[in-house]
Amino acid sequence: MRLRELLGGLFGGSKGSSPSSDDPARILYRVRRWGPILASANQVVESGGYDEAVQLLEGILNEMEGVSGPLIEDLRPKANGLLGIAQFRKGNLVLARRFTEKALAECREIGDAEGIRIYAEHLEIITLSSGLSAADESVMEIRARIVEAQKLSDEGWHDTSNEVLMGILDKVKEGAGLKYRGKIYGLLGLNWFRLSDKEKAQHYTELALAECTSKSDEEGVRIYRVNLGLIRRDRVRSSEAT
Amino acid sequence: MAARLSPIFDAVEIDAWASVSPESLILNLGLVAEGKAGTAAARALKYSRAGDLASYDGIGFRLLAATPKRGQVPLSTVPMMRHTRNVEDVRRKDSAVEEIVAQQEFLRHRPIDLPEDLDGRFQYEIKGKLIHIILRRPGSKGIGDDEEWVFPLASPPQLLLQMTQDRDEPLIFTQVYQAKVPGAFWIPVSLVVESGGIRRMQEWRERLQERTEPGQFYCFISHRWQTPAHPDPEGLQARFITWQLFARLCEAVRVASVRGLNGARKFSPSLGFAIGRSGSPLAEALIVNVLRFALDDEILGAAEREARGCEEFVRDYGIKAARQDSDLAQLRETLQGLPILSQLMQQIFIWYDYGAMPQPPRTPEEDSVFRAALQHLTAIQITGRTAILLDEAEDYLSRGWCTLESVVADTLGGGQDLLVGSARQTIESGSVEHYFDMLLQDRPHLIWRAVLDAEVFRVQTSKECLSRLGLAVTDPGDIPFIYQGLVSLNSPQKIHIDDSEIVTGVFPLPVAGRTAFIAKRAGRKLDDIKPCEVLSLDWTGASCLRDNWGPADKAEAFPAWLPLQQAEPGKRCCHVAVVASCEGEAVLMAKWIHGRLPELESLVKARVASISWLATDIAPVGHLVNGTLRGVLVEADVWVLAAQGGRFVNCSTTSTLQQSIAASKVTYFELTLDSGKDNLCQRTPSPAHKSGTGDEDSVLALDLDRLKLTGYVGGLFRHDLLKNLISLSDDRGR
Repeated sequence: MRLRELLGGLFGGSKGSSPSSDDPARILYRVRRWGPILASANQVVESGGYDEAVQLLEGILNEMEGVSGPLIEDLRPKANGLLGIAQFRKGNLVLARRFTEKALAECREIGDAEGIRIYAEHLEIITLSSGLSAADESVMEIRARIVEAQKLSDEGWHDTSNEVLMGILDKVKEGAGLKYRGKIYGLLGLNWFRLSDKEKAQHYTELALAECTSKSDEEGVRIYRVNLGLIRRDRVRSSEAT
Repeated sequence: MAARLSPIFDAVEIDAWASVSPESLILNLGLVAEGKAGTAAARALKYSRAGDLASYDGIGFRLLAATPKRGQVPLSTVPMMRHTRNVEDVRRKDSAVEEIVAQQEFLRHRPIDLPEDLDGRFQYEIKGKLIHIILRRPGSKGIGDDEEWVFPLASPPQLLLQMTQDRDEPLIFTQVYQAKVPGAFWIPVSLVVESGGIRRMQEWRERLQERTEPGQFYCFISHRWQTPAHPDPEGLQARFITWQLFARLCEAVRVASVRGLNGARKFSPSLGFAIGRSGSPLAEALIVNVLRFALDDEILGAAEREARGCEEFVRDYGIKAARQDSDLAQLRETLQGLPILSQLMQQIFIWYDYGAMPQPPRTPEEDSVFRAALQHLTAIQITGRTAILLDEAEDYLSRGWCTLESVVADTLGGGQDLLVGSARQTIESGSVEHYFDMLLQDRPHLIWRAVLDAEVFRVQTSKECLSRLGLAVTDPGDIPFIYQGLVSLNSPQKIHIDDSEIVTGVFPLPVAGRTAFIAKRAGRKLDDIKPCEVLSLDWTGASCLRDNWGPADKAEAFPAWLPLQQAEPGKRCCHVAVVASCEGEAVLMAKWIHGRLPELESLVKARVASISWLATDIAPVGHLVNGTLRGVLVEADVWVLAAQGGRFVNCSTTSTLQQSIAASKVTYFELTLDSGKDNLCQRTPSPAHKSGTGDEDSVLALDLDRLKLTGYVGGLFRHDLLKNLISLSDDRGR
């Protein structure tokens, strides 16, 4: 990928007639281009052009220096987050962590819950990719089993999924595996609901909600609150029907 | 040169891209997005024709590279597939990291259902087997402040399940009729397993089946020959075929055991996907064509127990086992312990040329059988389903016979399935790579445009047509046969919808009194305007080249705007608006309609005063006879909107017209051109009608005195259509 082509008109040099760099028209011109440039950078990362993407994103972030406003607040974490991904793909895990943490902090600042979830996940991936200690290997085993259980559940094999989950419940009582306990309880709750055992469904979903609440896992709290509401309503309907 | 654009494109400026390769431009959205939306399609079209004009795939790839707003499923071409494959190869280098990344989706928390207080508006995205529903976050600060709810398609939220219809895979032809096609010999799959591979036809002729039987499943195998003398010297294709058929049979049994033997597959018309518990299309076809004939609920339970015991072999659809099972000994041994599945396997037959057609050297009798089979190849194929054994898509699609077989299956029906035909490590899940699938799905669209270029626009010969499609044949004598095969297929049955479509032709704006109407946004469907009368008008020949286009016909005689006659006082006048997949198809449809006006007029009880056509083209790689888009004001008492059935459900261009017409409160018919019965549906909006999007103000009413209409060279990208059509008009629309 040729960087000059990518950068195209964005840093198009100083033509005699172009407005000065702090000219509002020039700033507006730049701001309007950041969205498409960010999209381009995303495609470059997707295509494996990590060096080019890093230069492109650093260019955008430099331009954003000293500019503020809602659009910048939205775009800056995305640019930092993407820079984190590009560095991660390049194998620069220290830089990847730095930019991802920056993106996460910026999302926290503006209360972007989806951004917080995404960059927290990215940080986890960076950590796991930083070299597997004995503890990490056990985490990898837990993750693999949860993925297996989720796929079984997705395909309708809820009982088999539960067998897999019950097999790893003991392993998430302490240490690094603890963070997956909410997910495991939540999936057990969902599986029991699909298997029509509403009592167990409620029990495990309550455990999941408690886990996520204690860990400030907003997505977990949002989802298991809804699940719990559905299970309770379903139980009330069932008892009324009988 | 056939692909050259008309002189109206001369003024279109693409200097900034002229020296940029499509491989670079496709990554440079910033550069592509420069310039006005109104000229984006023209620039993309001009760039697409600035490279190698010979290849339709090359034009398609350049066009996509120059498209500023690509949807999720843009046109797939051979260069695009190479590009995607290269990207995936780069990413696959670090498989441990890829695994960690891929796990993340499955570690997210999963809801049982959507919140009950949902206000009914949502966006969605399908990723693999998951549907991501995107809702505005409660107390949202604005656009983009959303929350995601992820469900497996097998277990979607109730809201989606309520909008489904039962749609099983169809019965194959042989369940209804017995077929004895001249030259056709079907190979029992159990015979292949027993023999450890596929034998030369003459070696097992007496054990092949000539006449089909109900309750049996017939599968035409489309495949590459590995060497000129033998299609499968190492027996790999035979192993892949038998193991995958066995694995799909196991899948069928397990799905049927969950859903019930006669439980129908649920299909969501608006998503275009099966949702709820379902199997692969091939497994679903086996449920309908084999299991329901052979099993009852009790035996199904026993069969399910047998299938469950085979989980280790069939989890990847038998791919790993096929790689290792050099003479099918493992499959033979496995089946010995599975009495019910063995019985079911005996109901499956394949047609594989080497084992089903006499091979050289041939006796005179064998030669006549061979010629009969060759002559009836299409009939043999559509007798059952087609399975494409795909090892290398690029090479498969460069072979004339293979391509013909793949589009016959897609266009003439019977069903088409992809089987893995290679030992590549990339096929871990047991499915053909997604980009191969997409490439095959789009082939009929490219071929249709190539054939229209040769037959309707007459800008190339049949030989050039095949050459520009990149099709090679070993024997040049096959060229006329393959070309005629492609011509006889007509328009593709499926439509491909994406933001990257280019819209050209005439957009007719309905006028009532001094007011013109246009939808502000495209909703999915006009559900709230119920049909009040359903009539039949069999115009399925409209997109048939043989029936509808002769040597004397000229494309220029059917322009995008065709006024026919002045309205007579006291008589109702009618406008017919056609929405087609490309300009060639639009011309073909307009010609058919123009030649049969009295049939339509007697049904809608009005005189047709004008015809217009719009082409909304996912693959604008063919000749452009019009190449512009403009709005035309149309005042008519009756409107007929004519299109393929799929467009009335999923096409946003058609939806925009639907809503605009409905807002003008005229009598309005929808004519489904690919259906011959109950396909002319009258819809009369009630006075209180709201548009399909549910918004009171989703249709603009514009004062004619303040309306300005502009033409767009190159048309508009579908994504830009509405806002630019609206900008045609005075901003002070009421």
